[in-house]
Amino acid sequence: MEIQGISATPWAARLSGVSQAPEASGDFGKLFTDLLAKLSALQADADRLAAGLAAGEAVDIHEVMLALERASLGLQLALQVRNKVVEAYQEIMRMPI
Amino acid sequence: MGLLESLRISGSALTAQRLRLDVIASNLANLETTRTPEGGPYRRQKVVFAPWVPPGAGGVGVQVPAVLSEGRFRRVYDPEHPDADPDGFVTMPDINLVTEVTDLLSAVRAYEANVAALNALRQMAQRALDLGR
Repeated sequence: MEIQGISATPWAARLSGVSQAPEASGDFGKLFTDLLAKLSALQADADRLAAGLAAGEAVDIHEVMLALERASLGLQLALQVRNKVVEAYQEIMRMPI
Repeated sequence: MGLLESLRISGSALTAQRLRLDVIASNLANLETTRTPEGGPYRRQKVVFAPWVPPGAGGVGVQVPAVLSEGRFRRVYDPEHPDADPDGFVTMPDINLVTEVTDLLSAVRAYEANVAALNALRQMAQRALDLGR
């Protein structure tokens, strides 16, 4: 079996992969912003329906409850994603260099 | 958000059953209505259900494409009635109280079943969120 020298390892190629990390984090930032925008839309939807019901408009009660449920689930999902991100950040900050 | 879209399946069923309840209530309210703006007695209303695919969901919901009016009447002998014909018969809507109340119960139970399905879906979503804890 032939043993390859250390110099044969394509470090440069691996490092070039690392240098793409900032772009990837930018993608995540966009993802999270999109998620927040969606969440905001869900909350606004629930608000509008609840206000309509309170004002006596012809809104079905279950439509309001469903919108509230969607908003609540969306918020919980966003919270979990945020928790995970903060957790990962703290994990990296604790890493001894 | 496929899960949130799936809420629309049961949501559409709730809407459909509520509309069905409205129609049954109309039939019960007009059990003996003999005059309508269109002329003639009230016609019994009946809902028709059809499948409906919510955007983004995996299943098939339901919608009410039309509410049909039935053309049948029953003739009741009641000479005192203002709308009685010369023979003393009154044309009444062909609405059976027992049938309507049975339909009513069926609508209420179907509504409850769909609420149960909704709650199950919500619990699944919350368990999925518990994965990260």
